[in-house]
Amino acid sequence: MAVNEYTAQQAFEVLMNHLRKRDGQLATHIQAVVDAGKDVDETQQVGTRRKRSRSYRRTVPYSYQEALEVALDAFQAYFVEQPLFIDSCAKNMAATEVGNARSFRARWQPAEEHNDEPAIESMGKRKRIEIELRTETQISEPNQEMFELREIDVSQIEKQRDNIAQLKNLVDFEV
Amino acid sequence: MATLNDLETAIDNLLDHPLGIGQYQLVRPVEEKAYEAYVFGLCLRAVRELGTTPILRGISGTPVPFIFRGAPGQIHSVARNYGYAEFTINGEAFEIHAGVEFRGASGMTHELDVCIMRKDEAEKCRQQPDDPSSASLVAGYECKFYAGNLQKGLGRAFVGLIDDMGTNLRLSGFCSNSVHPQLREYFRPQRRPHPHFRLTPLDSSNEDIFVNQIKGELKKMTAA
Repeated sequence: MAVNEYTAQQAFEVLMNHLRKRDGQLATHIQAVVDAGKDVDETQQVGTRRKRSRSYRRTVPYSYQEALEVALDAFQAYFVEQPLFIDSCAKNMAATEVGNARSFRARWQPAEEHNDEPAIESMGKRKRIEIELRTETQISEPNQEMFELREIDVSQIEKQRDNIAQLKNLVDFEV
Repeated sequence: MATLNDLETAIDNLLDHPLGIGQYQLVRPVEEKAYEAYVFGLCLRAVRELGTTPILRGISGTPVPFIFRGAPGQIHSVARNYGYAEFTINGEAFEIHAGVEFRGASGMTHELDVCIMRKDEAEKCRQQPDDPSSASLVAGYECKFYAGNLQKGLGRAFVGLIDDMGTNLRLSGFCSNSVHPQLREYFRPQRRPHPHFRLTPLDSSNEDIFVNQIKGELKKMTAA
Protein backbone atom coordinates (compact mmCIF):
# COMPACT_ATOMS: atom_id res chain seq x y z
CA MET A 1 0.00 0.00 0.00
CA ALA A 2 1.11 3.54 -0.67
CA VAL A 3 1.90 5.52 2.45
CA ASN A 4 -0.93 7.92 3.09
CA GLU A 5 -2.39 8.86 6.43
CA TYR A 6 -5.88 8.60 4.94
CA THR A 7 -7.89 5.88 3.21
CA ALA A 8 -9.33 5.98 -0.31
CA GLN A 9 -12.80 6.50 1.17
CA GLN A 10 -11.60 9.46 3.25
CA ALA A 11 -9.83 10.94 0.22
CA PHE A 12 -12.99 10.64 -1.89
CA GLU A 13 -15.13 12.23 0.81
CA VAL A 14 -12.67 15.13 1.28
CA LEU A 15 -12.54 15.67 -2.48
CA MET A 16 -16.33 15.71 -2.82
CA ASN A 17 -16.75 18.00 0.21
CA HIS A 18 -14.33 20.54 -1.23
CA LEU A 19 -16.06 20.35 -4.60
CA ARG A 20 -19.57 20.65 -3.11
CA LYS A 21 -18.57 23.86 -1.32
CA ARG A 22 -17.50 25.43 -4.61
CA ASP A 23 -20.01 24.06 -7.12
CA GLY A 24 -22.90 21.88 -6.04
CA GLN A 25 -23.98 21.17 -9.61
CA LEU A 26 -20.60 19.76 -10.63
CA ALA A 27 -20.42 17.76 -7.40
CA THR A 28 -23.85 16.26 -8.07
CA HIS A 29 -22.84 15.40 -11.64
CA ILE A 30 -19.62 13.68 -10.60
CA GLN A 31 -21.38 11.79 -7.81
CA ALA A 32 -23.93 10.55 -10.39
CA VAL A 33 -21.15 9.37 -12.71
CA VAL A 34 -19.55 7.49 -9.83
CA ASP A 35 -22.86 6.06 -8.64
CA ALA A 36 -23.58 4.63 -12.12
CA GLY A 37 -20.99 1.94 -11.31
CA LYS A 38 -19.18 -0.18 -13.87
CA ASP A 39 -19.68 -3.35 -15.86
CA VAL A 40 -17.55 -6.38 -15.06
CA ASP A 41 -17.42 -9.85 -16.60
CA GLU A 42 -18.08 -12.57 -14.09
CA THR A 43 -17.57 -16.28 -14.55
CA GLN A 44 -19.88 -18.93 -13.21
CA GLN A 45 -19.06 -22.64 -12.94
CA VAL A 46 -21.73 -24.79 -14.53
CA GLY A 47 -21.74 -28.42 -13.43
CA THR A 48 -18.64 -30.21 -12.21
CA ARG A 49 -16.77 -31.02 -15.43
CA ARG A 50 -13.72 -28.97 -16.39
CA LYS A 51 -14.23 -26.03 -18.78
CA ARG A 52 -17.90 -25.95 -17.98
CA SER A 53 -18.20 -22.29 -17.16
CA ARG A 54 -20.06 -19.30 -18.52
CA SER A 55 -19.35 -15.63 -18.21
CA TYR A 56 -21.86 -12.85 -17.87
CA ARG A 57 -21.94 -9.10 -17.39
CA ARG A 58 -22.74 -7.57 -14.05
CA THR A 59 -22.88 -3.93 -12.97
CA VAL A 60 -21.07 -3.31 -9.71
CA PRO A 61 -20.20 -0.22 -7.67
CA TYR A 62 -16.81 1.41 -8.07
CA SER A 63 -14.33 0.93 -5.26
CA TYR A 64 -13.33 4.20 -3.57
CA GLN A 65 -9.98 4.03 -5.36
CA GLU A 66 -11.81 3.73 -8.71
CA ALA A 67 -14.28 6.46 -7.72
CA LEU A 68 -11.33 8.80 -7.17
CA GLU A 69 -10.00 7.94 -10.64
CA VAL A 70 -13.43 8.59 -12.18
CA ALA A 71 -13.67 11.96 -10.42
CA LEU A 72 -10.18 12.98 -11.53
CA ASP A 73 -10.96 11.95 -15.12
CA ALA A 74 -14.03 14.19 -14.98
CA PHE A 75 -11.90 17.06 -13.67
CA GLN A 76 -9.48 16.46 -16.49
CA ALA A 77 -12.33 16.65 -19.02
CA TYR A 78 -13.56 19.99 -17.65
CA PHE A 79 -10.35 21.67 -16.55
CA VAL A 80 -7.87 20.45 -19.17
CA GLU A 81 -9.69 19.07 -22.20
CA GLN A 82 -12.21 21.91 -22.55
CA PRO A 83 -9.47 24.58 -22.76
CA LEU A 84 -7.57 22.32 -25.17
CA PHE A 85 -10.64 22.01 -27.45
CA ILE A 86 -10.78 25.79 -27.66
CA ASP A 87 -7.04 26.03 -28.26
CA SER A 88 -7.13 23.37 -31.00
CA CYS A 89 -10.13 24.97 -32.72
CA ALA A 90 -8.48 28.39 -32.61
CA LYS A 91 -5.28 27.04 -34.14
CA ASN A 92 -7.10 25.24 -36.95
CA MET A 93 -9.27 28.28 -37.65
CA ALA A 94 -6.18 30.48 -37.77
CA ALA A 95 -4.82 28.39 -40.62
CA THR A 96 -7.69 29.36 -42.92
CA GLU A 97 -8.63 32.38 -44.96
CA VAL A 98 -11.70 34.48 -44.44
CA GLY A 99 -13.90 35.05 -47.47
CA ASN A 100 -15.81 38.21 -48.20
CA ALA A 101 -19.54 38.17 -48.75
CA ARG A 102 -20.32 35.93 -51.71
CA SER A 103 -21.70 37.19 -54.96
CA PHE A 104 -24.43 35.20 -56.61
CA ARG A 105 -23.27 32.24 -58.66
CA ALA A 106 -25.56 31.00 -61.40
CA ARG A 107 -26.46 27.33 -61.12
CA TRP A 108 -24.90 26.64 -64.55
CA GLN A 109 -21.60 28.21 -63.56
CA PRO A 110 -18.99 25.69 -62.35
CA ALA A 111 -17.69 26.45 -58.88
CA GLU A 112 -14.07 26.72 -60.01
CA GLU A 113 -14.98 29.38 -62.59
CA HIS A 114 -16.86 31.43 -60.07
CA ASN A 115 -13.95 33.58 -59.06
CA ASP A 116 -15.85 36.07 -57.00
CA GLU A 117 -14.11 38.14 -54.41
CA PRO A 118 -10.65 37.39 -53.11
CA ALA A 119 -10.40 36.11 -49.57
CA ILE A 120 -9.38 38.62 -46.95
CA GLU A 121 -5.70 38.34 -46.06
CA SER A 122 -6.17 36.38 -42.90
CA MET A 123 -4.06 33.23 -43.17
CA GLY A 124 -2.30 32.56 -39.88
CA LYS A 125 -4.24 35.21 -38.03
CA ARG A 126 -6.37 34.47 -35.02
CA LYS A 127 -10.11 34.43 -35.85
CA ARG A 128 -12.76 35.60 -33.50
CA ILE A 129 -14.99 32.59 -32.76
CA GLU A 130 -18.35 32.79 -31.03
CA ILE A 131 -21.00 30.30 -30.01
CA GLU A 132 -24.59 31.41 -30.06
CA LEU A 133 -26.22 31.28 -26.61
CA ARG A 134 -29.57 32.71 -27.61
CA THR A 135 -30.74 30.40 -30.36
CA GLU A 136 -32.85 31.61 -33.24
CA THR A 137 -36.03 30.00 -31.92
CA GLN A 138 -35.58 31.03 -28.29
CA ILE A 139 -38.10 33.51 -26.96
CA SER A 140 -36.76 33.68 -23.42
CA GLU A 141 -33.99 36.20 -22.87
CA PRO A 142 -30.69 34.72 -21.72
CA ASN A 143 -28.14 36.73 -19.76
CA GLN A 144 -25.80 36.63 -22.69
CA GLU A 145 -26.42 36.46 -26.46
CA MET A 146 -23.09 35.02 -27.53
CA PHE A 147 -20.10 33.27 -25.99
CA GLU A 148 -16.65 34.03 -27.32
CA LEU A 149 -14.20 31.13 -27.38
CA ARG A 150 -11.08 32.75 -26.00
CA GLU A 151 -7.76 31.02 -26.29
CA ILE A 152 -6.16 30.13 -23.00
CA ASP A 153 -2.50 30.46 -22.11
CA VAL A 154 -0.98 27.01 -22.70
CA SER A 155 1.16 27.36 -19.57
CA GLN A 156 -2.05 27.59 -17.53
CA ILE A 157 -3.30 24.35 -19.09
CA GLU A 158 0.04 22.68 -18.34
CA LYS A 159 -0.14 23.87 -14.73
CA GLN A 160 -3.60 22.38 -14.39
CA ARG A 161 -2.35 19.09 -15.87
CA ASP A 162 0.38 19.11 -13.21
CA ASN A 163 -2.22 19.74 -10.50
CA ILE A 164 -4.21 16.71 -11.65
CA ALA A 165 -1.06 14.56 -11.82
CA GLN A 166 -0.13 15.61 -8.30
CA LEU A 167 -3.58 14.77 -7.00
CA LYS A 168 -3.48 11.40 -8.78
CA ASN A 169 -0.27 10.60 -6.92
CA LEU A 170 -1.86 11.49 -3.61
CA VAL A 171 -4.85 9.21 -4.18
CA ASP A 172 -2.94 6.25 -5.55
CA PHE A 173 -3.31 3.53 -2.94
CA GLU A 174 -2.00 0.71 -5.06
CA VAL A 175 1.49 -0.71 -4.68
CA MET B 1 3.77 9.96 4.23
CA ALA B 2 1.11 12.10 2.56
CA THR B 3 -1.12 13.85 5.08
CA LEU B 4 -4.73 14.95 4.82
CA ASN B 5 -3.41 18.49 4.74
CA ASP B 6 -1.32 17.64 1.62
CA LEU B 7 -4.42 16.19 0.00
CA GLU B 8 -6.57 19.22 0.81
CA THR B 9 -3.91 21.61 -0.50
CA ALA B 10 -3.70 19.65 -3.77
CA ILE B 11 -7.50 19.68 -4.14
CA ASP B 12 -7.61 23.44 -3.49
CA ASN B 13 -4.81 24.04 -6.03
CA LEU B 14 -6.82 22.18 -8.65
CA LEU B 15 -10.25 23.66 -7.97
CA ASP B 16 -9.08 27.25 -7.36
CA HIS B 17 -6.80 27.42 -10.40
CA PRO B 18 -8.01 29.85 -13.10
CA LEU B 19 -8.86 26.76 -15.18
CA GLY B 20 -10.68 25.15 -12.27
CA ILE B 21 -14.21 25.79 -11.08
CA GLY B 22 -14.24 29.33 -12.50
CA GLN B 23 -13.46 28.15 -16.03
CA TYR B 24 -15.94 25.27 -15.68
CA GLN B 25 -18.74 27.67 -14.71
CA LEU B 26 -17.82 29.96 -17.59
CA VAL B 27 -17.77 27.25 -20.26
CA ARG B 28 -20.59 25.07 -18.90
CA PRO B 29 -23.30 26.54 -21.19
CA VAL B 30 -21.26 25.77 -24.30
CA GLU B 31 -19.29 22.66 -23.37
CA GLU B 32 -21.01 20.51 -26.04
CA LYS B 33 -20.66 23.22 -28.67
CA ALA B 34 -17.01 23.79 -27.84
CA TYR B 35 -16.44 20.10 -28.58
CA GLU B 36 -18.24 20.47 -31.92
CA ALA B 37 -16.05 23.48 -32.71
CA TYR B 38 -13.00 21.33 -31.96
CA VAL B 39 -14.17 18.58 -34.36
CA PHE B 40 -15.00 21.24 -36.98
CA GLY B 41 -11.39 22.42 -36.59
CA LEU B 42 -10.09 18.88 -37.17
CA CYS B 43 -12.03 18.78 -40.46
CA LEU B 44 -10.29 22.04 -41.46
CA ARG B 45 -6.96 20.43 -40.61
CA ALA B 46 -7.73 17.42 -42.84
CA VAL B 47 -8.46 19.73 -45.78
CA ARG B 48 -5.32 21.74 -45.14
CA GLU B 49 -3.20 18.59 -45.04
CA LEU B 50 -4.49 17.79 -48.52
CA GLY B 51 -2.82 20.98 -49.70
CA THR B 52 -5.94 23.13 -49.86
CA THR B 53 -6.66 26.20 -47.76
CA PRO B 54 -10.22 26.23 -46.45
CA ILE B 55 -12.05 29.54 -46.69
CA LEU B 56 -14.36 30.61 -43.89
CA ARG B 57 -17.67 32.08 -45.01
CA GLY B 58 -20.74 33.48 -43.34
CA ILE B 59 -24.31 32.95 -44.53
CA SER B 60 -24.88 36.68 -44.87
CA GLY B 61 -21.42 38.20 -45.09
CA THR B 62 -17.87 38.15 -43.92
CA PRO B 63 -17.66 35.77 -40.93
CA VAL B 64 -16.16 38.16 -38.40
CA PRO B 65 -16.81 36.79 -35.86
CA PHE B 66 -17.21 33.19 -37.00
CA ILE B 67 -20.46 32.04 -35.39
CA PHE B 68 -21.33 28.46 -34.43
CA ARG B 69 -25.02 27.69 -34.04
CA GLY B 70 -26.22 27.18 -30.47
CA ALA B 71 -28.87 24.69 -31.60
CA PRO B 72 -29.67 22.70 -34.74
CA GLY B 73 -30.80 24.93 -37.56
CA GLN B 74 -31.44 25.29 -41.26
CA ILE B 75 -28.59 25.85 -43.67
CA HIS B 76 -30.38 28.88 -45.15
CA SER B 77 -31.07 30.57 -41.82
CA VAL B 78 -29.91 34.19 -41.65
CA ALA B 79 -30.97 34.74 -38.04
CA ARG B 80 -27.27 35.34 -37.49
CA ASN B 81 -24.27 35.33 -39.79
CA TYR B 82 -23.63 31.62 -39.17
CA GLY B 83 -20.24 30.41 -40.31
CA TYR B 84 -19.16 27.53 -42.51
CA ALA B 85 -16.03 26.62 -44.46
CA GLU B 86 -15.62 25.86 -48.14
CA PHE B 87 -12.87 24.18 -50.11
CA THR B 88 -12.21 22.77 -53.56
CA ILE B 89 -10.19 19.67 -54.35
CA ASN B 90 -9.51 18.66 -57.96
CA GLY B 91 -12.32 20.90 -59.14
CA GLU B 92 -14.88 19.45 -56.73
CA ALA B 93 -16.28 21.89 -54.20
CA PHE B 94 -17.36 21.05 -50.65
CA GLU B 95 -18.47 22.78 -47.49
CA ILE B 96 -18.04 22.00 -43.81
CA HIS B 97 -20.96 22.88 -41.52
CA ALA B 98 -21.85 22.54 -37.85
CA GLY B 99 -25.34 21.99 -36.48
CA VAL B 100 -27.15 21.89 -39.81
CA GLU B 101 -30.28 19.84 -40.48
CA PHE B 102 -30.59 17.47 -43.43
CA ARG B 103 -33.56 15.76 -45.02
CA GLY B 104 -33.19 12.01 -44.61
CA ALA B 105 -34.31 9.35 -47.09
CA SER B 106 -37.56 9.02 -45.14
CA GLY B 107 -38.24 12.75 -45.41
CA MET B 108 -37.56 13.29 -41.73
CA THR B 109 -34.96 15.94 -40.88
CA HIS B 110 -31.89 15.17 -38.83
CA GLU B 111 -29.19 17.36 -37.36
CA LEU B 112 -25.54 16.56 -37.86
CA ASP B 113 -23.17 18.13 -35.36
CA VAL B 114 -20.42 18.44 -37.95
CA CYS B 115 -20.59 17.48 -41.61
CA ILE B 116 -18.88 17.76 -44.98
CA MET B 117 -21.25 18.16 -47.92
CA ARG B 118 -21.36 19.00 -51.61
CA LYS B 119 -21.19 22.74 -52.18
CA ASP B 120 -23.69 22.74 -55.05
CA GLU B 121 -26.50 21.46 -52.85
CA ALA B 122 -25.58 23.88 -50.04
CA GLU B 123 -25.73 26.84 -52.43
CA LYS B 124 -29.00 25.64 -53.90
CA CYS B 125 -30.54 25.43 -50.45
CA ARG B 126 -29.31 28.90 -49.53
CA GLN B 127 -30.65 30.45 -52.75
CA GLN B 128 -34.01 28.66 -52.60
CA PRO B 129 -34.46 27.95 -48.89
CA ASP B 130 -34.73 24.25 -48.25
CA ASP B 131 -33.18 21.49 -46.17
CA PRO B 132 -30.31 19.82 -48.02
CA SER B 133 -30.90 16.24 -49.04
CA SER B 134 -28.86 13.52 -47.43
CA ALA B 135 -27.56 12.59 -50.91
CA SER B 136 -25.32 15.66 -50.76
CA LEU B 137 -23.56 14.46 -47.63
CA VAL B 138 -20.00 13.21 -47.74
CA ALA B 139 -19.28 12.86 -44.02
CA GLY B 140 -21.39 13.23 -40.90
CA TYR B 141 -20.33 13.30 -37.27
CA GLU B 142 -22.04 13.17 -33.92
CA CYS B 143 -20.00 14.95 -31.26
CA LYS B 144 -20.43 14.24 -27.58
CA PHE B 145 -18.47 15.81 -24.78
CA TYR B 146 -18.78 13.65 -21.69
CA ALA B 147 -17.17 13.78 -18.29
CA GLY B 148 -17.97 10.16 -17.50
CA ASN B 149 -19.00 7.05 -19.39
CA LEU B 150 -21.01 7.67 -22.53
CA GLN B 151 -24.65 6.66 -22.56
CA LYS B 152 -25.52 3.75 -24.82
CA GLY B 153 -28.67 5.44 -26.10
CA LEU B 154 -26.60 8.12 -27.85
CA GLY B 155 -24.96 5.49 -30.03
CA ARG B 156 -28.26 3.79 -30.84
CA ALA B 157 -29.82 7.11 -31.86
CA PHE B 158 -26.93 7.99 -34.16
CA VAL B 159 -27.04 4.57 -35.86
CA GLY B 160 -30.74 5.21 -36.58
CA LEU B 161 -29.94 8.66 -37.97
CA ILE B 162 -27.19 7.34 -40.25
CA ASP B 163 -29.50 4.59 -41.48
CA ASP B 164 -31.81 7.31 -42.83
CA MET B 165 -29.00 9.19 -44.58
CA GLY B 166 -28.85 7.03 -47.70
CA THR B 167 -25.86 5.44 -49.34
CA ASN B 168 -23.96 8.52 -50.57
CA LEU B 169 -22.61 9.15 -47.10
CA ARG B 170 -19.05 7.91 -47.31
CA LEU B 171 -17.94 8.59 -43.76
CA SER B 172 -19.79 8.70 -40.49
CA GLY B 173 -18.39 8.84 -37.02
CA PHE B 174 -19.38 9.07 -33.40
CA CYS B 175 -16.87 11.41 -31.80
CA SER B 176 -16.38 11.74 -28.08
CA ASN B 177 -13.69 12.61 -25.60
CA SER B 178 -15.04 9.68 -23.58
CA VAL B 179 -15.56 6.00 -24.33
CA HIS B 180 -18.01 3.14 -23.91
CA PRO B 181 -16.70 -0.41 -24.41
CA GLN B 182 -20.07 -1.82 -25.48
CA LEU B 183 -20.66 0.98 -27.97
CA ARG B 184 -17.35 0.18 -29.61
CA GLU B 185 -18.68 -3.33 -30.30
CA TYR B 186 -22.07 -1.94 -31.35
CA PHE B 187 -20.41 0.21 -34.02
CA ARG B 188 -18.37 -2.69 -35.39
CA PRO B 189 -20.73 -3.97 -38.16
CA GLN B 190 -20.29 -2.49 -41.63
CA ARG B 191 -22.15 0.74 -42.45
CA ARG B 192 -22.23 1.73 -38.80
CA PRO B 193 -20.49 4.92 -37.69
CA HIS B 194 -16.82 4.73 -36.83
CA PRO B 195 -16.25 5.05 -33.08
CA HIS B 196 -13.89 8.01 -32.65
CA PHE B 197 -13.62 7.52 -28.91
CA ARG B 198 -11.12 9.50 -26.83
CA LEU B 199 -10.95 12.02 -29.65
CA THR B 200 -9.20 14.71 -27.70
CA PRO B 201 -6.07 16.85 -27.97
CA LEU B 202 -4.70 14.67 -25.15
CA ASP B 203 -4.48 11.77 -27.63
CA SER B 204 -2.90 12.94 -30.87
CA SER B 205 -2.96 9.45 -32.42
CA ASN B 206 -6.77 9.42 -32.27
CA GLU B 207 -6.83 12.87 -33.84
CA ASP B 208 -4.58 11.57 -36.62
CA ILE B 209 -6.92 8.62 -37.29
CA PHE B 210 -9.89 11.01 -37.58
CA VAL B 211 -8.03 13.42 -39.88
CA ASN B 212 -6.55 10.65 -42.04
CA GLN B 213 -9.95 9.05 -42.61
CA ILE B 214 -11.28 12.32 -44.01
CA LYS B 215 -8.19 12.85 -46.13
CA GLY B 216 -8.41 9.30 -47.51
CA GLU B 217 -12.08 9.60 -48.47
CA LEU B 218 -11.70 13.05 -50.04
CA LYS B 219 -8.72 11.84 -52.04
CA LYS B 220 -10.60 8.76 -53.25
CA MET B 221 -13.71 10.64 -54.27
CA THR B 222 -11.92 13.47 -56.06
CA ALA B 223 -9.29 11.35 -57.80
CA ALA B 224 -9.19 12.13 -61.51
